[in-house]
Amino acid sequence: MPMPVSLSRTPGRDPRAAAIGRVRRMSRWVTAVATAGTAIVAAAVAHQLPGHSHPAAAATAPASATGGSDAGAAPGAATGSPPSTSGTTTPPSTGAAGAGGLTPPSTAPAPIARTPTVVSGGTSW
Amino acid sequence: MELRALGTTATVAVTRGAAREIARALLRVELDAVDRACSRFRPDSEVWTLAAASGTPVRVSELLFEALAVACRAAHHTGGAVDPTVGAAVVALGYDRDFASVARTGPALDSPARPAPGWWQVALDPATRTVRVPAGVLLDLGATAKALAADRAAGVIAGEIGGGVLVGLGGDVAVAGDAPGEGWAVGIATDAATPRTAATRTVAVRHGGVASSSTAVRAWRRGDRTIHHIVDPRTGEAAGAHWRLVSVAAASCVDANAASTAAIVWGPSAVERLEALHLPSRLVRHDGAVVTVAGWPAEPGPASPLRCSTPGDHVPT
Repeated sequence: MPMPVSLSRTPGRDPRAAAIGRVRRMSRWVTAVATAGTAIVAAAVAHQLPGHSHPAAAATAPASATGGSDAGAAPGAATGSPPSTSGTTTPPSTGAAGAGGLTPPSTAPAPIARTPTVVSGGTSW
Repeated sequence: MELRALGTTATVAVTRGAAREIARALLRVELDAVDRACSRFRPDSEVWTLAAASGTPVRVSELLFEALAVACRAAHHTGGAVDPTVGAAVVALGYDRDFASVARTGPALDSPARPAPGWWQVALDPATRTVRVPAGVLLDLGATAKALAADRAAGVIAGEIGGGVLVGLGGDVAVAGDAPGEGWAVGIATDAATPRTAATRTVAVRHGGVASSSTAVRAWRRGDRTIHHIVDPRTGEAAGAHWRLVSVAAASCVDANAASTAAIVWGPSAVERLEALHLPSRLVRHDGAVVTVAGWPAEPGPASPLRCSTPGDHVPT
C-alpha cells in the first residue's frame, strides 16, 4: 500500500489558525479598550455627579460597550455550532435517500414584512 | 457588510454592531481557508493536489477532511443526487474555470456526458485523516463547501463575539447565536445577486440555514443547448429543468443546500421527498407556479391543498 502523502502545512503553523489567532487577539484588545473606556467614562460621570452614581451601572458598563445591536436583538450567549461530520463513506444502499439524514430546522421560516438582510437565490461556486 | 469571496458576494450581519469589523475579519479568514482547501479553480488548492495524487492516500487538513465528509454525507442522504465526484462531468459541460471566465456561448459539445463515478469511491479514514480518490476522479465540492463555509463562519463568529450572526454566501445563508427579535429577514430570488429590495419573497429565519438552487442562473450555451451548473450525477448532464428555483430551510446551511440541490435533480418528485424529510421548502416551476411544503410560508392568494399557487408569482426573469 502506498504511503500517504501529506497536504497539510507544517503542524502548528496552519495559516488559518494563525489568522484566527490574530483576530482573536485583536478582538480581546478591542474589548479591553472598550471596557476600559467605558469604565473611565462611567467613573468620570460618577465623579461629576456625586450622589447620582450607582455601582451597578459601572459593573454592567462593559456589556453595554459591546452589546449594541444594529438589528434590535437582545444580546446573549452565542450558540453557533458547525455541523458534525460522519468521517466515513459507505456504499450506496438502494439509491434511496438515507433515512432522516437531513435535519429540519427547529422552527420553520415565518412570513415577515421587512427589507431582507440578505438574498438567497441561485448561485454556485 | 459585504465582501467578495468564493466567486460570489459574502454578507455578514451581527446583532452586536460594535463587533462588525471583527466579524468581517473572521469571515475573511474562514472563506480564505475554505477556498484554499476546496476550490477546484485554484491550482494550489488541496483538492487540486488531491486529484493529482492518482489514487494514492493523502493526509489532508482538518478542513478539507470535514468538507469531504460533509459532501459524502450529503451524497448519502440524497441518494446520490448531490455527488462530489461530478467534477469531470461539470468540466465536460464547459464549466472548467471560475464562472466569470466561462464563455457564455460556444460551439456544440463534442465529448459525451460523463456520469459521476460515485461518491462511495472516495475513501475517508478519520483515524489517519487520509483520503483516497481513485485516479481520474475529479471532485467538485461546490455544492456543499460553500454552505459549509457559511455554517462554519457563522459558528466561529458567534462563538467569538456573541450575539446573533448571519452569514450569506450567494444563495447559502447560515445563522448562529441569538437571532434578532423577529428573526433574520432572508429574501428569496432566482438570482442571489438580486438587490435586497427586489427579492420575490422574504421570510424570517431564527436557526440553522436557508439555501436556494436555481437552473436559471450560472447557465451558458453550447451549440443550441442551454446548460446550467447543476449536474445529474447519474447522467453527467445538466439536471432536468423542472424547477426554476428551490429554496429549503434546514438545521444547517449544509443540509439546506444538499436538499435544494437534490430537489433540482429529483425533479417533480422533489415535492414528496422534501415533505417526507420535513424540510420547509419553496419550489418554483419554470411556468411560475409555486409549491410550498413542510411549513414554508404559503404564497399569498388562492392555493391548492398542496399550497401550489397559480402562475402570477412574480418570479424575476
